[in-house]
Amino acid sequence: MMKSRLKELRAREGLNQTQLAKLAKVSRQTISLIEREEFVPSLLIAVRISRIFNEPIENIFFFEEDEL
Amino acid sequence: MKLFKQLIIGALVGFFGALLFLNIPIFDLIKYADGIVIGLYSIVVILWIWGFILHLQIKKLNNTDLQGDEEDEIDALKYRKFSDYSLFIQSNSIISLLALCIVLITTMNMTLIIIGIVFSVISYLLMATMVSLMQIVHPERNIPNISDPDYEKKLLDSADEGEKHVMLHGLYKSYNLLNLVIIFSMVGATIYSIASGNSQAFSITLMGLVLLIVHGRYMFSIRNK
Repeated sequence: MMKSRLKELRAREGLNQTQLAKLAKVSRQTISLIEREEFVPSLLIAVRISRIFNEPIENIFFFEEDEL
Repeated sequence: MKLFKQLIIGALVGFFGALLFLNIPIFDLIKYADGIVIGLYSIVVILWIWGFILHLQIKKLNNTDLQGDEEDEIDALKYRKFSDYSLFIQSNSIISLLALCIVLITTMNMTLIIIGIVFSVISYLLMATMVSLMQIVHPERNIPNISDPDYEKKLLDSADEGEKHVMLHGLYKSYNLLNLVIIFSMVGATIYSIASGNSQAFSITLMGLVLLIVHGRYMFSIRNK
């Protein structure tokens, strides 16, 4: 399953899940699911999140080598 | 060893199943109908009161201004309370209808029939409050009005992909459970028909049709995609 640095990046920017959700135009539940690694976001949401943190997508979301 | 255990369990289930089948107690619904219906109405009233308390709690939480992780915790709590509220309201409409059906086919007690009709109407009207509460909790969303002809489609469209993911898992589990429960109900109704002499053929046919319609609807939804 995909891993992410979402929680770490949120802490760096001082954002809670609700604030990040508003910026990414999704629900807080979706952010929580991504952080708990229970849901892989679409490319659209991944791009929005990467812009919010000003980081490339591959620096935020990771896959195991055998999954690629 | 595992096979041996399964054989023993199978034999015990078979033995007690056959014993139950031969001595099945025939429940006299007419004798207890009014009591059962009053019990069901009491459950409806309790759930209404509980739902009303949840409604107030959700509105109060919605007006709470917090920052940081506490804001997330409040949002998660609000979501759980809203799910409970939806469950109570939807359950109430089913229980009210069930109680009304029981009284209509058994004692025809006029007072209980009138209460049943009133409770059923109130239950369905309260379902509209779910939408208004959703609009209060999520003002940023384009939640359709319940009178909208495309209400169900628009409501699904208002959910984002994470919420749809959660809904899909929940619906998939419900779909599998529905299949299993209806098949067991058909078997149970058949056993009851044979043991009691009261034919449940109509109900069994209806359950079979429901199963066929649900399967058919699902397959037609996915086959041309």
